[in-house]
Amino acid sequence: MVEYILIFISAALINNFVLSYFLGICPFFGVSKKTSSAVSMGLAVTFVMTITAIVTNLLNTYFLKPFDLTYLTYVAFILVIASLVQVVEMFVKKTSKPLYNILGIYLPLITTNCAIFGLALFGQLRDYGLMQNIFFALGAGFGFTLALVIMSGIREELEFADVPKYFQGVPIAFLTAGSLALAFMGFAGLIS
Amino acid sequence: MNKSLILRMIIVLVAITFLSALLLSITWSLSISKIKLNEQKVLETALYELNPTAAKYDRKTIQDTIFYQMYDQQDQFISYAFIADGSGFQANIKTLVSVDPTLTKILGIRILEQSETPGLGTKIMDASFLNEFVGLILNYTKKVPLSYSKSVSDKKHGVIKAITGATISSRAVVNLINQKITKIKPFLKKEAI
Amino acid sequence: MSTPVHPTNTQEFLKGLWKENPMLVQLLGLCPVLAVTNSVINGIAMGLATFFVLLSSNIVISLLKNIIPKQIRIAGYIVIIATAVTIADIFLKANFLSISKALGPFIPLIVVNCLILGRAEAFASKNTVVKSFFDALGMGTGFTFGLIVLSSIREILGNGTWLGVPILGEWFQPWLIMILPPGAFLTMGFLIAAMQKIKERKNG
Repeated sequence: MVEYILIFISAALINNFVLSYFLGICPFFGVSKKTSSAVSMGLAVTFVMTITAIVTNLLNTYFLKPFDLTYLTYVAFILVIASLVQVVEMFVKKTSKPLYNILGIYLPLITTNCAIFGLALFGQLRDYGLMQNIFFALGAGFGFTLALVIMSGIREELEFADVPKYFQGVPIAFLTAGSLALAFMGFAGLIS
Repeated sequence: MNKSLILRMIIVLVAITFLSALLLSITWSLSISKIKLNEQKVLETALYELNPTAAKYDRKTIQDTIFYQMYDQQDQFISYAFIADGSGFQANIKTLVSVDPTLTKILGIRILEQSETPGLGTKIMDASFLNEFVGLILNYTKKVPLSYSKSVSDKKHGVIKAITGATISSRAVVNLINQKITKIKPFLKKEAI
Repeated sequence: MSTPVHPTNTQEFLKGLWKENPMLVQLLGLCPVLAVTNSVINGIAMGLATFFVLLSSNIVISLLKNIIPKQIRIAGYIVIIATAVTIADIFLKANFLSISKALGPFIPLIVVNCLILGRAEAFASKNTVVKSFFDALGMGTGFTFGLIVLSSIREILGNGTWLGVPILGEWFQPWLIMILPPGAFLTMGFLIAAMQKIKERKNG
């Protein structure tokens, strides 16, 4: 159990997907303007990540590795992610209209989210078992949401600040992310 | 959505996937021999660098561990070498560790694969770090045979000096060697006899 | 100055270099950009790999644009892109092992590089093969150019070298932060601000 908690904390804080690995940047800058949308995106990503972790892990263990087909990994994984997102979108639409209204537009964006694809690949690279992969996904999703929410909080404040002309919009967002990344580097010594 | 459209969607998607898989398996079979050759070259270069007097080696597998027995010109058994790999800071680190036949002294290590932070973590490939492991005495009565210190090394007690600014990568190397050597020590002891 | 209604092939090529530069103007494909630009050689390698994938995918998708039903186009495009990336990956592993290792998991991430899917969706699916070819040529070059600029700044300030060659001399203490994640974000922020200023000057 301890091992799983360590994987979770590591993925969430020490090796934060956005701030250390640079995964999931596109939605990071696009969605982080308002905290409410940040939370929704984070939840959607965590959800898809976890299911992706399970499916790709099983695919890897029972199909790709045993039959020596690892060169098909990229094609197989991305197909899984694209289909999963499609299914999740349809499912949410049918079962819960209000939830769909909140998450809806973000779901298609998740298909090209480097974070999800990166998660699946890391799981294969590090030879994670199913449970390890699940906790890895949960941690990564949590870390992603955390970074996104902090980012949106800061950006909401920045709306009222006196930002130099050429830095308005995207540049100041990058500088904010840089400071955030610097702060998160402090977590490096968390697990000794 | 009418039936013919759904059918067309399925056919096109399956066709694209099938053609992709075909293209990839062709590319793969054309390149696989070269890829394996490259890996072999890297391994052998490291093996002979660590054991300059070696003339040939035997590759053995016990359970899921691969190790190598090195022999010199006179067919004398001179050392073991094994691969220790595991998580580094960014991705996996793969090391080759050479130990003496009694398994109490590390003769040296080489880093076969790593993707650590350039300029920092990549210093684990520098001669100064690798030399920390040369002649390192392993004591199995301790909790872990190998450990690291941020300040000073102590080869007699299996302590290496970590790289300033790259403690995590240094620690990762120590950890994965510890893990591997404690795992295969029982087998190697048997082989040595 | 507006773009003519039927741009020539050269114009399709040129727009990717500056006006619609994927990295600095459109802000596409940033994930791998920030990660691999800690050294110039890595930036160039990533640029070339992305260039190859962009070219192949643009051409293939343009060829197949009338065959792939609209509803599954994203899935179809992404499989084609994933195939091109796998081929690039296998090629690198067989012939340029050290670069393959240096770029690591960021080669497969070209699959989800918004730039490639973006061009497929916005351009290749609606234009001829020839035009798609030139579009890819321009975007790929512009992207590589952007990568070289970013990685040059980061490597010079963060390591004192360019392409591994020390150029700032002994007196310079490298700013370690530049080759770490925060440095990437900060440099990018300044670069984009600079681009915005240059754009305004040109239009103003």
